[in-house]
Amino acid sequence: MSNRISMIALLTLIAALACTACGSDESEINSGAFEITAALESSPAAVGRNTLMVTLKDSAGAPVEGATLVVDPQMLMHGHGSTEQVVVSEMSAGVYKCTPLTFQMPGMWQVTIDAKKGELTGRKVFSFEVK
Amino acid sequence: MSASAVGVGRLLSWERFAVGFRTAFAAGIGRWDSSAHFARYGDNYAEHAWRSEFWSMVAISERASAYLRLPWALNYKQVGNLGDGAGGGLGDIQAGLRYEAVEIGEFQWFPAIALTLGVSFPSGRATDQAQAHADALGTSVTGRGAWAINAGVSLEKTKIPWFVRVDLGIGVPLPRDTVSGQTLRFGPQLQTALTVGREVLPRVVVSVYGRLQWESAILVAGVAIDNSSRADSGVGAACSWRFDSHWTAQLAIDSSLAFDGLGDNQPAQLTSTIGLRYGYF
Ligand SMILES: [Cu+2]
Repeated sequence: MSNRISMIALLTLIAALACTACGSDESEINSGAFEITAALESSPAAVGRNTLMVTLKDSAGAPVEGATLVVDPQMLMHGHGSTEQVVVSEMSAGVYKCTPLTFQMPGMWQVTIDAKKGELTGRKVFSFEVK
Repeated sequence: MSASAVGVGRLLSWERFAVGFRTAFAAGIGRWDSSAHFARYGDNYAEHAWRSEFWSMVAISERASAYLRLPWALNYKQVGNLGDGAGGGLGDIQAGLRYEAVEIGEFQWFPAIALTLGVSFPSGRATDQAQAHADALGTSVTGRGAWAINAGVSLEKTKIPWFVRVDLGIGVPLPRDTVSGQTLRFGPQLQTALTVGREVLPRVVVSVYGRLQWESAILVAGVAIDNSSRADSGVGAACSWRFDSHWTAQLAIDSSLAFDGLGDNQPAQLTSTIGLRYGYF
């Protein structure tokens, strides 16, 4: 029994380490009715204008068309947001282009994506180390 | 003796008022991240500021004086694919009172003690207001958008031709609403500086100082933001030359101690200042 617990703890630890080591500059917190994934058009995040491609799926994995997305970049540890407003346009079913995602200074930025369609809402927060 | 090249300083005992102009070039050299690791800016980023200030100080009693500082900044930034540009405007205006609780030489063994109480007005433009002005680089940002109350105590011991001064200050920013409607409160600040100076020639005073500053975490809707506390340290030197009984020229240089662990979540700068002061009596 205790062996199984140690094995689970070890696997959890490996999974946690693997996730930190995978080199992504994103850390994600997901909540709500949608599965929100996002990737920068060119990675890693750089100071200046970036473009974020967001994919929205429902709980069954089907693309969500015609949703309203609000994208809010914040440099929380400095107490300010971005100098430019992110404009969202749907490129294909469930695929949204968010630009300009402007990081006007280097450092840690949090990008909150709020998605809404009808009564359904979802939120996901991505973190980017901007260099 | 120690008419300061940093801050407004004080009136000489025979002066009724003083006015001054100061202009400084602050070259951004890099930044400390929230783990206190220092990194120089890369080729894709630069920020420099040309900051100027008109100030005045007027005696309101034998021991008390009032001051006003009108800062102005011109910022230059280069931000990756946004290119570069300059902009600026009025900064956060400050006004306050200074009280000489113990004047220099009043007691032989006791240091002079001055107390200050001031307020900083959010007259500068905060970052979240830059968006409405189509300022993607953020060069028009000249303030933090919050009122702040500042209090300080300055202890100075003189033994001609030397002086030593310890300055301690606290700043308490008041809560403000962001453009997105949340209540944001910058953390209280604690500043301290130790200055040692000497009159090296008649009417020429040279001083060196070290300074430290801490700022506690930002609160958004009452919740502290992780890693948002700040720290900063620097050293500087100043020289003032009273070349006329009314006029003093001031020169100062200040550098952040741009090394790992000596700052936190803060930009580092190298600042050169020149100033001119007129005292009326
Ligand atoms: Cu910032």
